[in-house]
Amino acid sequence: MSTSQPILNLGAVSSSPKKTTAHLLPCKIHHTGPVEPTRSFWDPQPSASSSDTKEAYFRGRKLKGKSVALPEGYKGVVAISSLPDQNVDADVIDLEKDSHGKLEVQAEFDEVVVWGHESLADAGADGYVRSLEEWVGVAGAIHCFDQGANK
Amino acid sequence: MARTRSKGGAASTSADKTASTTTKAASTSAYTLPAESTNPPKLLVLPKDASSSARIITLENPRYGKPTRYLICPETGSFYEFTKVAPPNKSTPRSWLLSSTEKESALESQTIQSPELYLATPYDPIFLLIPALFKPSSSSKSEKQERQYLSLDDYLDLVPNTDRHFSEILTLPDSKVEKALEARLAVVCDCVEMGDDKMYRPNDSKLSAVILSKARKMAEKLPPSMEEKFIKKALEAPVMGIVKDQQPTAPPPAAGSPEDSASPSETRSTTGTTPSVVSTAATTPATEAAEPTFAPAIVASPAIVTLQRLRTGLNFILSSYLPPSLSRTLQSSLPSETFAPLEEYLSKLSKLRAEAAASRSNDINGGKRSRDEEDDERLEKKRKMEQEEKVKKANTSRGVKQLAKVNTSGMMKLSSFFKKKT
Repeated sequence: MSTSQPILNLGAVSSSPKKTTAHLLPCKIHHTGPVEPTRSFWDPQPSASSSDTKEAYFRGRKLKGKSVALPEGYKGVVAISSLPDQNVDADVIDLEKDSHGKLEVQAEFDEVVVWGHESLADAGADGYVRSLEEWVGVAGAIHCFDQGANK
Repeated sequence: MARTRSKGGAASTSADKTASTTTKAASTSAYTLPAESTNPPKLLVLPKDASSSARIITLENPRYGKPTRYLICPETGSFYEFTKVAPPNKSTPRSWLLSSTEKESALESQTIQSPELYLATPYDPIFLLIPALFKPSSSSKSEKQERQYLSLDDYLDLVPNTDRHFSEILTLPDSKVEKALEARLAVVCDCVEMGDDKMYRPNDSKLSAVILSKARKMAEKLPPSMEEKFIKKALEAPVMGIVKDQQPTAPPPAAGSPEDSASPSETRSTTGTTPSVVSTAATTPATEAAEPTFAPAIVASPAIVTLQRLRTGLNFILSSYLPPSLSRTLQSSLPSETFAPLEEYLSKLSKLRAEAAASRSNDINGGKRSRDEEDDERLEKKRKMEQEEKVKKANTSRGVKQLAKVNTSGMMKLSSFFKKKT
């Protein structure tokens, strides 16, 4: 990727976005792209012991998953950043528009399931859980300021 | 629910199965993995209140001076920074699987190889301005006199703008970014009004006040993982008084050191119970059957814990959001008495730790370890002897064995024949 990345416009949020669930698997999958149909190899079930954990068998291995809800006021999006298209409106040179890419939101999710082999991820050790549960609060504390006071 | 593929549907023969299962059954033999997407999707966690006009731009990171992505919402004038969440080391196998939910409008299931997650959290734009405002000048002594009143635009011009993203954000129609920046600028500056224009001059003491108040806020809600690592671990005194470890003859240095360390703690510690426990343990090393007493030599008072929290927050902010040169000057400009009680405690603690480490190493070198080694050696020898004997026995003939039973006490040894005759 070049050193200068374009500005990405977020764009309008569609009223009924597609929904998905983000599973963080404890294995490397050397493939990026669609994998339908998934039902035959991925069918997580709520675990019998507790409500916010899940269980699944993936290629013969037992996985335990912990659902981590996104923090309050946040939403997860799956997005593709599309770079500015040079061909469109070649006659009209619009410098502003040209330099902008777009962040195309494909779907939204509101929880991340962190999976582990036979064991559950815990907040202290897993970076994902910690970021979602702790960092948001810390960042809020550091960066909050009274917006109304100085206007 | 599962999309019906025309081929699979045509091939289905069993009538009792539902359409969806047969499609799967038919297609299992001919799974063709769709081509990889060349532009892999990213997973982002964005604030809900970011409007549709929000955009992601590149600005120079005030701490590291590298281009960094920020999310900016011109409608509200708020800034967000991105935190990349990824496994601690690259070799940790992790990947995303986006699975479709049962609902109608679901995304096609897909996998994403790279396990990154980008988390957008609020960002105080003051940090973007600080490097421009508080530039380290070469003649640092007369710095205060040199600083001039400048307008907001002058300062904004000083903000690095390599990709021209920053200027573009400012010039957007009805963008509130400039207003937000001005409001933040006013917090760390002296301000005078000259006609219609407002002029600002950076003020060091205002800056340190702002940073300190941020650190205080952070200290109030320090997350558990940081609390554990930077507060508990950092203030934890070594556990003293585990004098007896089975051996009745505990080496003298181990017994002596807790007493030494207990006496200063007795004089200063507010909780009087721990030293007494320690000293009894130290004076009665002979009663080895008694339960081992674990007691930290000194205990941090709540005031000290608060100070440590504040310092942790301050260090974090200084080391992540301010340019290194500035964080150094800020740190030195803090009144020295702020952390004085904490410093005192920490120096005591380091002394205690050194003592504990010394006594432990003494313990290991002088006492148990050597005994264990001796034991090991003896056992080893014994084992070897036994083994040799076994080999010998196995090799000896029947005649020799029988002879071995003969009482040879009165006989001369064979070796005596080879001795020098005296």
